[in-house]
Amino acid sequence: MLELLSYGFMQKALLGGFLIAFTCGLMSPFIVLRRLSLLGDGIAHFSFGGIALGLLLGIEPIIAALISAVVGGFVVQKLVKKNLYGDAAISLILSFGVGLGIIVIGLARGFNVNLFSYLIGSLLSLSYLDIALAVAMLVLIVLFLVWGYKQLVFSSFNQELAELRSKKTIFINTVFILLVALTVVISIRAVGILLVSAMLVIPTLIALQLSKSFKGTLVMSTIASILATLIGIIASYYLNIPPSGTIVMLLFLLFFGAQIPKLVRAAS
Amino acid sequence: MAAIKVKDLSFAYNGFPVLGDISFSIKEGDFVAVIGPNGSGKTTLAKLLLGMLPPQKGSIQLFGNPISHEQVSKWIGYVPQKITIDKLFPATVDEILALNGPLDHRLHERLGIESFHDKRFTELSGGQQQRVVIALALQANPKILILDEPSVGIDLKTQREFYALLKQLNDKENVTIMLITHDVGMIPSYCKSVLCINHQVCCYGPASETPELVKKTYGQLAVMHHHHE
Repeated sequence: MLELLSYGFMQKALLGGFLIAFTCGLMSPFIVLRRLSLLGDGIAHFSFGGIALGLLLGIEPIIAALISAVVGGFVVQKLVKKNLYGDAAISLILSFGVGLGIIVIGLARGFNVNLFSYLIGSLLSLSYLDIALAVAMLVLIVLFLVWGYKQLVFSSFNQELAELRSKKTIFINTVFILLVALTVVISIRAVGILLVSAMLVIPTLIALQLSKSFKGTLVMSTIASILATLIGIIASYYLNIPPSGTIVMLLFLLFFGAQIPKLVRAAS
Repeated sequence: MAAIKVKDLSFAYNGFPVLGDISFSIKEGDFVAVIGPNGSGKTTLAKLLLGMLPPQKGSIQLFGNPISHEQVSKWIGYVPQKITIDKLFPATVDEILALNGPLDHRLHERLGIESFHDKRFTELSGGQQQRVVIALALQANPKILILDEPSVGIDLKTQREFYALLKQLNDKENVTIMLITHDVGMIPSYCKSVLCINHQVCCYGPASETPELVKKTYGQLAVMHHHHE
């Protein structure tokens, strides 16, 4: 274990993984309970086009991903406001991003390997910029939740009543979409575009089996996310398998493990 | 004093008029049943009073002041037709009630919800959920309570308990109540006045005159079945 911690890349992977998992665990309940589970997937795939374009134009991929994720998030929000079905709007931007990415790959051969790391995640090659962004993101989300927790829960419970209660609900919802987009980008570094939904959705699915309160769900989701990520990184090192897939498999295991108390209760 | 004063209010959806030049005044402490056929503009009226829709013509006053978001959030409690909530939504009754102001245990006792304060909201029966939603609306001490067909899908016994609860709130707490309902049979037993809407104000009178007013609104074939307290 000590040997593992002596490597710089592992220190960065564990620290970055912890920060990203913490952020995803906090955002996850709000994403799932607002029925936005697919939004993360849509934004991630939309970012694929942005990242590919960024690599082609020589823009730092994470910056290109940040910009495209925010644009993707707001495009979905706008399309839904224009009465397009939510899942159809997500499908639209998802297809656009992947289509753009494929065209760019076709145009510029040579960075396919680099792009591949964004598809499946690359926790073991996190840079200091990634860590700095993950710290900033976590701080931003904690501050946001401290400020808008009540309104966020209220609008997850009932949008109409929440808007009646406070004028800031609409503003909070807009900031929330922005933060989902940013969370997606940092999750891409951990598990990649293809598995980003797992980090944003499964922690809440685990927590819902174990907690009956909102606060409990938030805490359990965060714990599950951090546990799966840290154990996943360590296990992947010893088993010599990719960390992103290992993290997702652990989240699955935790999900099935979380059913046990329910099954025991039902049996007794 | 008029709790709600509506003057020459009109509203149309995409050019299709729903409410045309309606005027009425609800005095403080009244318990008004708002009746009318489907699509007559009752819910649109509620949404206008709640500031969810902007009046296209006319004015609304609350306690003598022009309507504003601040006043609505401070003075009006709203109980929507039905809270559609995912059965997995993880929130206890206390967590939901705390969303709209500090927990008022005296209110919870009166509404009979004190015993399940730590239960998950979605595990409650329809009637219990409705009580919690009323408590949520009352949590911020509103002066006016607007309810939009709150008893839809609730069994008869729970409905009666629910109406009795509203009557008690009106009698003891002087909360002005505006109840949108199709259940005209309950009006004489629980309400003080009845407002009949069919794109315009058809009639407005004491609850004791409900049978005549119902005939005016729904036509001669309307039959009323009385509830008894």
